[in-house]
Amino acid sequence: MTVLVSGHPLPVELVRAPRRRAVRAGLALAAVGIALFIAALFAGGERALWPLVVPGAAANDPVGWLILTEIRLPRALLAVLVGATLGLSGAAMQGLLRNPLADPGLIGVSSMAALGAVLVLYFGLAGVAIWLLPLGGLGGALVAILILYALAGRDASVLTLILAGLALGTLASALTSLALNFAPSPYAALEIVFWILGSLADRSFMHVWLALPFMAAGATLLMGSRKGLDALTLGEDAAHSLGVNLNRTRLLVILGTALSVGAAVSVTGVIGFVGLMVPHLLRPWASFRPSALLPLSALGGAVLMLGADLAVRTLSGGQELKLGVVTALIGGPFFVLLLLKTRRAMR
Amino acid sequence: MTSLTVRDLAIDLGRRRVVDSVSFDLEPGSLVGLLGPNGAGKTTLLRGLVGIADTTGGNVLVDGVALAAVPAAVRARQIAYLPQGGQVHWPLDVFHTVALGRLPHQTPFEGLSEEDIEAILRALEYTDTLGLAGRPVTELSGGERARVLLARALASEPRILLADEPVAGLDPAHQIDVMHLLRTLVQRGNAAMVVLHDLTLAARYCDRVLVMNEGRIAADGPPDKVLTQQVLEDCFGIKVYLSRAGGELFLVPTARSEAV
Repeated sequence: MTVLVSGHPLPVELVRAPRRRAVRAGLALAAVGIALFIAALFAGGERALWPLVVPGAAANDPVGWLILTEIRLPRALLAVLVGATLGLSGAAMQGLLRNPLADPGLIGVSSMAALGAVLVLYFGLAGVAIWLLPLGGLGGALVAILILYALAGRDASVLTLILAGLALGTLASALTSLALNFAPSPYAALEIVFWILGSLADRSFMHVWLALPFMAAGATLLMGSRKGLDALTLGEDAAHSLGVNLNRTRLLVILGTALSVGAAVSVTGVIGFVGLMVPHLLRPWASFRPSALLPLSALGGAVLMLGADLAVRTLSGGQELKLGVVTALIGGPFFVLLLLKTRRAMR
Repeated sequence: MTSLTVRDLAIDLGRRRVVDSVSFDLEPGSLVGLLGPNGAGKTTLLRGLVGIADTTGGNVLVDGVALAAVPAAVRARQIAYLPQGGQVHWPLDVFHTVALGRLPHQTPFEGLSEEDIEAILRALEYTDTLGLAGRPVTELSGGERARVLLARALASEPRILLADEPVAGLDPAHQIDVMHLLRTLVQRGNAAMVVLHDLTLAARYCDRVLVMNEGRIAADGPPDKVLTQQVLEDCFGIKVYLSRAGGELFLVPTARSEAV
């Protein structure tokens, strides 16, 4: 770059520094993510799995190999996918609403996906075929998208969308409560409650393959909104005057979030606050640019999820702590702190 | 060279007609002041000229082509709009705030080109904000932020600039700077339309002023023909002290007229 303004060498550094910072943060997160992924595969459990890294060792320990490839690997992959989904959609949602307190759960899709899965459990269909449970979740997410579309329409303001999402979320939790109320047995009720808490335990490649297409489609839509989100930094009027189609940006974020988060909830249950915390923590590393924050938040979400699940799996004793409980335990106080800080900044 | 032709434009907000039968031409090389009391429809008119506010009737033509038929990306490169009292929602540094003005010129997945960076630096220099380049935009004073946002609008190197109160909140020195800058822009063959509340600034720097009142254009022409006691009394409900010094017009509002 040959930019030189007499007496002002500063801008040259300014151009490069944010990009460099974002790339460095991305590489650091990726490195931590890889380390955690490896740890997630080999750490903990009764059986030492690390000898299996030697080529040909699989034949000597078929059970260990099975644990590694059919239990640990899909679980770790799901942690990456779900974490990346929550981080990415959280960053997009905060960019769209221009509010650091926004969360992908805001549009009610996660509650509806949870309801879909709860209904499968309630009617005892989960016992018929294991894949019916995540399918129910996906169905719930789809219904949510249709209702959102009907309530908020094509040309919806952000406020209408949030209110529609709130209505949807309230309705979904009411129906979930109803299902619990009329649960055929205490055991069924417990099953529903435990599922809602959110966990990555006992998931298989079936869950990965079921969720992956929707997550990939959702992520593609979300990444397509980056220019629009950057422009929205200047407000809606200025964004429009910069040639951004705001309806398109809104549609990309809402549909992308609904697809990917709906799929995530379908396979894991509700895991809250990741989409709120991750973008907020990483925003300075993206130099506050929404477009740079999106990929960083995907990486950050994957890292947080891998780390949290590893902690849950290795540190909790007989009764495994649910992942959704842990993220809520960290996320709740974080939200309060964030609220206090934002309030102070707004004064 | 790009010109804007407006014919019988009408814009409704809800049931209220906010802009009514407005016609004018914005020619290359002219700096047009848009004056009028609060609520006269100035902002709505500007929003209509960039396609933000839906028009109810009439036409806006960009070089003879209907505005609605111009692709958004092309329009964004030709016409820049600086909203009134603009906010910046994230604490971006000043450089990258101004860089947002280059979005219409950028293709996806490409960073800032050398051309982009030069345009940004020029815009920073014009608006005397180069020294602020590394500061978070949210920590600037109101006047500094107004200049940075003007730089953002200029960074796209538009042929037409529509600016809503670009000098509001600026100290006198920077008000003069901005008006000089606008003059320089139009001397290079661009066109600018700016909402102003300072009658003297409008009189001294604009080639032409449009005075709006209740959605209509009440007067249109060179400042010394338009800014008369009668027009100002009719539209603003004020009495002004008018004076000339060194060939320039000075207007000082002195009192509300009794009729209002």
